Amino acid sequence: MRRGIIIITTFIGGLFFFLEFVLPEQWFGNPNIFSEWMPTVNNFLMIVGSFAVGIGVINLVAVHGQQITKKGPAWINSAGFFTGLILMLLFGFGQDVFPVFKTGFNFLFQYMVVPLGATIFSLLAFYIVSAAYRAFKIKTTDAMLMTLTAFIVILGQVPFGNLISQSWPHFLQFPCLSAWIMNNLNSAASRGVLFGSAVGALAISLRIWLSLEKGSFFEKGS
Amino acid sequence: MSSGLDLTGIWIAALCTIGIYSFLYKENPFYRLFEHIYLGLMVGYGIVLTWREFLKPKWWEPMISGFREGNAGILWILAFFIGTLWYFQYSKKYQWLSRLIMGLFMGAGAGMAFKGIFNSIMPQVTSTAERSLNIFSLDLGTWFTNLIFVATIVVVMTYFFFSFEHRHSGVKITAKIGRLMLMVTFGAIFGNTIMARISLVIDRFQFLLINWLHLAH
Amino acid sequence: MKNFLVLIQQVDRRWLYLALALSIAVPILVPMNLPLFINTETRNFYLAVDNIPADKIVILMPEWDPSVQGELSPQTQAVIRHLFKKKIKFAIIARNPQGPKLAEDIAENLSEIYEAEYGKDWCNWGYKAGGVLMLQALAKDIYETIKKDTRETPIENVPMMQGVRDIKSVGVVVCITGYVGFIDSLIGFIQGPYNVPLVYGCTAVSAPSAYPYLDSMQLAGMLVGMRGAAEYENILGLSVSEARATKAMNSQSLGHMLVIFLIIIGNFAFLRRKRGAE
Repeated sequence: MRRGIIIITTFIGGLFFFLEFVLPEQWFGNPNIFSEWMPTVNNFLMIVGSFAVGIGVINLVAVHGQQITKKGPAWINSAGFFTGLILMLLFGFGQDVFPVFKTGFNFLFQYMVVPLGATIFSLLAFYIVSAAYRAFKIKTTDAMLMTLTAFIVILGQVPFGNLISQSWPHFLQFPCLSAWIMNNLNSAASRGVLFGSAVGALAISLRIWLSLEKGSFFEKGS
Repeated sequence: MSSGLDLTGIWIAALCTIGIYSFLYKENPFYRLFEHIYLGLMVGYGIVLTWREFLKPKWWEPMISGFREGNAGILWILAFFIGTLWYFQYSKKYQWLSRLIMGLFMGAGAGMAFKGIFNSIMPQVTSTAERSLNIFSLDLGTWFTNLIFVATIVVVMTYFFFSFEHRHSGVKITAKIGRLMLMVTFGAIFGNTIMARISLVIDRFQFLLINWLHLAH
Repeated sequence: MKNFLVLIQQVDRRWLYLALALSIAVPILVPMNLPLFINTETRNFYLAVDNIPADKIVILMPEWDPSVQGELSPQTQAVIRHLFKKKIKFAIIARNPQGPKLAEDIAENLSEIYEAEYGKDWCNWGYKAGGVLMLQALAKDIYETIKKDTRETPIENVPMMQGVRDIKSVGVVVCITGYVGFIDSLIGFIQGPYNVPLVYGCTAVSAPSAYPYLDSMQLAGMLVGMRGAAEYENILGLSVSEARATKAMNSQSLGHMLVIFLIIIGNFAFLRRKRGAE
């Protein structure tokens, strides 16, 4: 019975949007009722969906809280997590009561969140350079073709490539060759992949909508 | 912000940047600490903004106004009751209620997918058909480009067609050419990835050398 | 020779990191003036924004966070400069929490230079959760979906929002994002059904998968990474002090040459050792 209720709810959730799409805008002189109700339904679902933000927070607080209470090996890192969280919540919600907290909130964002986030992800460049040197070995024709294209695109993106090939015939200059590869070969291959993935996505969407999909989520509690 | 606060902020930002980059030399406790502080700040920021810019103006204020003035805003209380269903996943006995709301959103997502996929893919199909018709263009460059374009789509799709085995030699060769075209795409993606990642480091070095140390401008 | 080849293959990765750091730092300290090639997709992006009708607004969607700041912050800056220069009204909105704040900081700094006023020339609708649901609701009814801007002004009271009720009042949607899949939803739910011109500023990683949309004209133009931002700055004719992305392309050049050099050296050592072993 519970599974039945879940299946019906899933179906109704999808039916509204499916009918909104397939039915015409005007139907025997009447507007499409699903399109009329769309903004209200969307706003309602957006608000209900945003209540889920607490789930991730609860999990993180539980994990790091356990580290601190049991004095785990890296408990000081968890203390750092709670410090950042509490400071941000304090300044964020406190700015309605104490306007000076708005400066604190902006300060934390501009001088801690932004540089930390940007720097953590910039580490990838160092890893990619190391990987390119150690792991990028041209052993097959496929790898040779991939490397050749990569070199053309790498040189085509930067002024150096433009400078090196300035005196060459126009269609052989690195920027032009790189643009041709991206706009034709890459675009065509990506489109082929897109068609395949679109058909797959349609099939999966239909299976999920009709609750035909199998897996731990769909069979649990039945 | 005052210039004194800005200067303090720049030094703190520089400290954060160097703390993270210290990982490149060796794994160390400073890197881990900064990483966790960042996680805490991000989570806090997300919560504050979800409330201030979204839930408060769109749900809380209309609901409170509904209770005060007795208008339809009262109905927004339903959103709260339905929204709390997410948290029943922590209960062993009533966990199925959380699957109810997950099912609703999965169904809604699946229903919307039809519209999204048709609207984004159909123009791709018509564009490919146009290119196919223009294969017989009088301009040699356009003719060659269109032929390569359409042929590439066909060979790549042949490579990904797994419904039957690639036994026939014609299909085998087509699929092999499709694989080579995919290698070209992967090479292009690799080239772009290099540019993307290096850009991130350039931004950080510009901050350190220009904004912090004032060694350049 | 054999020992040299072994040495090359076993070099400590920290020397490689130092080489990358130097290849990026040196051009920042010693500026060069290298010629930049302007790609067609960048030029089309510029034209799509430049040719917007005077009675329409631009929706600017800065859907990026600090992790891709290096590429997308210069793009956002260049676009906002263009909008301020041409006195095109725009509204900021995003489906991620950090984007609107990052773009607002940029707009506030630039509004002093271009004498733009919040509320009259630009406004910030802020972060709106809901993904595709939000896009569908926004297209039908902007007032109901947004309610208030980030300064807590009811949206119908913001001067530039008078009469801007739905997607018909929008001249072009500018999406600047590093998230894969965001542009697909914009094409599927905004550009496709309502035929609104859509331009895309993306990280270089997500650019290859967007080229099919350029070819089918679902995207009116595209900026690719930091290179796209530098090209846009060139088209706008920004001065040396204003064109941060253009200056950064020198470091980009040297960094790319280093990667090519390392791949060649790594393969040279690998092949020589393999032949030596045979």
